[in-house]
Amino acid sequence: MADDLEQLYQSTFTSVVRFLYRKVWDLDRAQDLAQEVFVRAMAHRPEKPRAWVFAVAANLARDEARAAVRRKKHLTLLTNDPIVAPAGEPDAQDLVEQDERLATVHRALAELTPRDREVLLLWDAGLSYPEIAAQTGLALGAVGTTLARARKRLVAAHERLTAGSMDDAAHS
Amino acid sequence: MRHIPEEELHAYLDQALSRAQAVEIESHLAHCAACREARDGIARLRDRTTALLSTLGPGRTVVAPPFAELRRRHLARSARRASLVRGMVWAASLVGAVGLGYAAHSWRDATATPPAAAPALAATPTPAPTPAATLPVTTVATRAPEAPRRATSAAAPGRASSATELAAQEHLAAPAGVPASGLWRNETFERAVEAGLTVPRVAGLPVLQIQVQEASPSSVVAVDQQLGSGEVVRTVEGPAQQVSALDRSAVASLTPGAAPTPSSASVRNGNRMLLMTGRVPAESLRALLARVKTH
Repeated sequence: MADDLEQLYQSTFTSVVRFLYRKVWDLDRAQDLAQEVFVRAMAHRPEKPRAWVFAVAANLARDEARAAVRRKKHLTLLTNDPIVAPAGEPDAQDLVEQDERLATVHRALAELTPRDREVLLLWDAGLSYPEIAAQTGLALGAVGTTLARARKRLVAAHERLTAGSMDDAAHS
Repeated sequence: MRHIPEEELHAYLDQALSRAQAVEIESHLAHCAACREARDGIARLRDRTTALLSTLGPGRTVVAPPFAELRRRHLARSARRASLVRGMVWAASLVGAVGLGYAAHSWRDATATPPAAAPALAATPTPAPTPAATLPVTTVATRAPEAPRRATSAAAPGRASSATELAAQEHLAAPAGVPASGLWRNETFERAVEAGLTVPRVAGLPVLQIQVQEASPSSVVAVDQQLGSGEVVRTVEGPAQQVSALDRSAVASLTPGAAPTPSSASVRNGNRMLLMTGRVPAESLRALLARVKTH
């Protein structure tokens, strides 16, 4: 049983961090939270650990967002601006361009409704339709509809935002 | 003839349909050019979404810490839980009704904050909590680490039941070395942040516990974290006067064991002070101190 959880940990930790990162936008914090999720899983021994892990991760992220709102930092969260540069090898020009690309996707994602965004991120994190339905409370049949809408809106928003900075795109 | 609704094409491409449904769709696609075109469009949309989202990765490679580290953290948590429960039982038997009252009070405090995981659990088809988990006695056990821990000194203001305090000091005491200059209480990260407290910590290290001591003009916060080697370091942040007054060697004697001897490092920023102690070489502490985040 412990081995099952360890296997899940090895195969899912990165997905959980990515999932959390797109909610808290702080990699260190996302990693802290992801670890917390798995430590809790050891105590709870959930029967469906994969779905459980993402459910708890979503919850921790939600608590974090609430706390952030109370700290009146919600403006940065809601406008998602400015983007914190992801740590890496800082290569000045590349980094600036990468930041701009990131910022655009970030803003496009922020334009979705919370439910659409949640379903899209859960799908992207590798959850199945039944798992997404269970976690969000949507009917199984509504998951496809929601995903269809979320994908269309994300791409449309991104295209519109990119068109807004045509000058930048012209020389790249 | 009926064309395939787009959400079904999404589900089909996401492989979320039963084999029978998929076969039905494939047979329709075989002779319907319009639906094939729609499918290709949705496939492109789907790929585009995945590509966009993949740029939103964390930016650097995420490496999962060794599983053993999590297991240690889990065990450390269960151990504290167990000793706290033993302490509570002992205290209750010693001081009778007073002790029970104290325990009940702690239990109420602890349960006032719902476990973060509860709503999600309710929404998932994971097994309902076992009946035992709903019994108060078990609740005390599982929620106990979040109950306030009190370490008192002789100088602490007189409180209603000194017998309870004595029991608390001996058996519910915070880890050895917490200075007896005031009351320390345990906090969860979420609650501490919500309360607007500074939680000093080294990113990426498992947090064992967070303790808070009310002080003026603001609280002193102590965070225990475990290094990969198993050693525990404690980071304390607060008003410089209070932090510098803490007995460093006492604060450092967190974990049993001989070498290396406890050391400490600190940095002062205006009227605030950040102090780190642990049984690790002083230069390691200084390096760790540089990595401490305080937001």
